[in-house]
Amino acid sequence: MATRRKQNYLVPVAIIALIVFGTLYYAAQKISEEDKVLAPEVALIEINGEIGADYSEELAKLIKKADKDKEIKAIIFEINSPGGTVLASKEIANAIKETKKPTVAWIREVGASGAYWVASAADRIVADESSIVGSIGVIGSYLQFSRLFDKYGITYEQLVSGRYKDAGSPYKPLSEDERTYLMGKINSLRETFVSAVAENRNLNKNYVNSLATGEIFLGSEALKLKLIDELGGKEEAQKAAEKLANLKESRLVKYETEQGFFDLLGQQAEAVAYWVGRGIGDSFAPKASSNIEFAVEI
Amino acid sequence: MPFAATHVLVPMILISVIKAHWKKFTHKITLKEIFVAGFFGLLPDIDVPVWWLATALTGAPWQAIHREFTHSIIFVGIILLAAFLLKQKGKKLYVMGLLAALGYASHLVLDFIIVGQIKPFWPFSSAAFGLQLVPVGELGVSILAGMDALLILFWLWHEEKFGKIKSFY
Repeated sequence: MATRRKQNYLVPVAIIALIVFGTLYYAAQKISEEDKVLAPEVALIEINGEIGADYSEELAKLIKKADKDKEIKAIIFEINSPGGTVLASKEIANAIKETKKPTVAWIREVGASGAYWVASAADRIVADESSIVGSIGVIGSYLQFSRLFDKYGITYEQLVSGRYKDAGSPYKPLSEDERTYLMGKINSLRETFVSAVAENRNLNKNYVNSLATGEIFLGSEALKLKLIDELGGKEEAQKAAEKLANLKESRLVKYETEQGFFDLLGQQAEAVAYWVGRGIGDSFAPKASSNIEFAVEI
Repeated sequence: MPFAATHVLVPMILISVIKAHWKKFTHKITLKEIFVAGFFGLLPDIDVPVWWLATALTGAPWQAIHREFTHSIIFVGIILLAAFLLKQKGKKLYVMGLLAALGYASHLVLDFIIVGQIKPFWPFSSAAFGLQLVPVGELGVSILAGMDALLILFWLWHEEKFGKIKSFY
């Protein structure tokens, strides 16, 4: 009796299972059909504004994600940045170099200094003839307020355990010894920058050294100087990526950092706090910033 | 689409109406059979939770497949075929199969009439059909909600009129 009952249930269960698994199979078929129809994907990652440590960490993660994504056949970096800190630029450049997929740097308005370092790590660089490229060099300039402080009777009491501990402080003049010391660091960073560009671009180090005057070049000049590979825009960058990845066609997929609800909330709170703070600050303070310390940027 | 409740209600009401007015239908309908009809009336929409689950578990960009595969009359045919095959095993199973087919078919008809388009002839044809009588949006939701209320009122009236309401208690 119990067995017969079980058999009775077998048919409806089999029909329901057929419908459920059939639905799954149908959905899976549709995915593969879509894949067949759509062209292979090329990731587009934007590198905008000043390159800082937080930004570089996020970008490096994004680059790794695109590199691991099986659907992505090549990566294009849309660069529009005047540069940033040495470490951040180096981190992004390293992340690009570590990718196993073909990479193209597409420089828009500006791809200078640290941003050029980043671009040089790509397999190919495309820029417009009017793009600003280059500016290979390191900057450590800062504002120094000691004479302003003199005017208001403010003195800087030096209490340091080492002679270079407050080298680069904006509250006192830089001694010749300190200048030599800091310039040594800047030149060392410059050397790293030049070596990286020479290696990435497969250029002679002395040649890159001769270009590393901090000078900016227009895209058309940069092409002649071998700092970029071709002139063009988005289309040319995409074609370059297709060529490197042996694709007949492709479609660009924008890769962005995912922002959760709390990220967005945090951004809003930050923006509100900034504007409130700025409003209060404006009513008290002179326009010039008074808290600049020595930092190197490229 | 009509509300899930509508898809359950319609086959249940249909059974009541058939039972009351079709004199040759002498089979005593049990609550289990009504449940089966209601369940199969909702079954075509299983593509929605299946899609949710597949998306949530795999993270893959599954395409929305609502009102496609499961909304084909081929499944009505399969259920009917199963009912006929079970006929020799007993009338109860046979009737249950017929009611399940009725429930399933009522879903397809409702979707065809009310909103969207279905692919009734899949896998033979991918052509989609639908009268889309109810507009999409707030007005459509109000109409569908009102339709449910009217269906229940009709059912109560019908059961009262034909003296069958006591059979549910």
